[in-house]
Amino acid sequence: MWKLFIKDIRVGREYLALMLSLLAAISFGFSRDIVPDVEMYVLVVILSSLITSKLFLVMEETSQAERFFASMPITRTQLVLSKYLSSFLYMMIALLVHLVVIHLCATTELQEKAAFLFRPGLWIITPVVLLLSDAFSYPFYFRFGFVKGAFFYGFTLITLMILTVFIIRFYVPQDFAQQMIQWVSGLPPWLVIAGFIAIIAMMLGSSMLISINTYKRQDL
Amino acid sequence: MTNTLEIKNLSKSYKDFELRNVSFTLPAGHIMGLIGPNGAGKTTIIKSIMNLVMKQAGEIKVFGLDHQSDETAIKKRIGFVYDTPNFYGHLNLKRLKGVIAPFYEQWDEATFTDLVNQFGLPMNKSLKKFSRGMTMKASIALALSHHADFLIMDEPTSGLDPVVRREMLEILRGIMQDEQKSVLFSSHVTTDIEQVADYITYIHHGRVVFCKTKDEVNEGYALVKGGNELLDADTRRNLIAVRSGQFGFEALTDDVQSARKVFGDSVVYDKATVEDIMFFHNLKAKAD
Repeated sequence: MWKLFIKDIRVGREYLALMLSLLAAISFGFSRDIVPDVEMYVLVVILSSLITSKLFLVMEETSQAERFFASMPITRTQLVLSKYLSSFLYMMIALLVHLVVIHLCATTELQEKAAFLFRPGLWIITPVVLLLSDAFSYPFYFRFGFVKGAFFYGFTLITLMILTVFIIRFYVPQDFAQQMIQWVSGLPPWLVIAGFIAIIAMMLGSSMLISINTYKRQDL
Repeated sequence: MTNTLEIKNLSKSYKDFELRNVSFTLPAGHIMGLIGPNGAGKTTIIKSIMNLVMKQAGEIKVFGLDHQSDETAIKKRIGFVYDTPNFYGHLNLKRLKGVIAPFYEQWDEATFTDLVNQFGLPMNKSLKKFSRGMTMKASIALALSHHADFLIMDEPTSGLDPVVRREMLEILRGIMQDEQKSVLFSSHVTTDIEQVADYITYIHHGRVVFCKTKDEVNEGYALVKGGNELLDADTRRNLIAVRSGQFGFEALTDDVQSARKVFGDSVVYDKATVEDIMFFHNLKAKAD
């Protein structure tokens, strides 16, 4: 599987370097107050990291090289898992670039103005949240290919969001979120962490299983 | 004699096409040509062997191993060439080799360099600038550099100019100097098959019409040419398909002795080429 990840790096090193330079420039611009809005910066960090994580998928889609690798001594399970791995590591590299640049180049004024950006917790939670939110996009890519998959995933996501808003608006008591936070904060910390890890593992695991089963049945 | 490939009752159906009960075997150390018109099912068979398309029924064994449960072990010993090889266009051959080689334990750098030099391929030119002939040669060089025992090629000669096509066939002959290697290649260019194949498997409408040695094909079929007045229901029974015109008929038979008994010397018997065989089988399928 690592061979496949290294393959992705080898194949897309110029594009990755270009992308990371762009991300560094964005973070540098923000650290020098060229991008004035903190919320906008956070959004850009999230989106750019997600786009970077999909870089190699776009390359595979455009070259259709996936067919070629499927004819080599690589199982489909390995192909699927390597995509998760590459995607996650690309995302981490992108976030790391943002983190390093913003920490090295930020002015004192910015450090005071957007103090939360410099808390380690934010940079630990962000990749986890991104990983989870992104995990369920993969079964769509493996079923429909990148372009169609992104479309169907986007459509499903928007539908689910509308449904969630509708349910919250009409069926969930107004103080439900507050009650939940209170209930969770009343639990022992080890239980909260264990529960969080279990949810991540369950979501990622089920996403991988769906992707593997989908891809194994696919005609290439 | 051991078989490199054994296919039994392979079936696969799509909306508008069905591969039905395809069975044939390829003994080790031979070249098999898979022929048939476009859309006959050649690529589906090849992709099924490579587990790129999922069969719905049947059994495929390569080197005596199941093609699905022993997929990785089998693919280590297979060199595969697509009809349109999909490489990363922005890479050059040197970088592509660097990407592919780590996946094969048996990768032989010296063999790769020899093949690249033999084929006259540039190592530093980006692959998107390669001609079709160069791409096919690159694909073959990559497929042969890990000492594959079985080379599978899907339409390797289609779209190539005659010179490159000839070169490609010479490459195939060269591979066969190693008597343990086997080759399966599909083509709808029948002359390619006639030149290099030991076995010919003819596929039509998703079914195997025949799987025979080249000699059996050459000796087993004949073209019968004669006057239209000789054709009636009885005489037609000995013919696979008949094409008749103003000046007489031309037909294919797979039973020359019976045809001789029926027609005697009143007709002319000619050797049937693979193209003739394909043509008349196609004619029969249309009539059916």
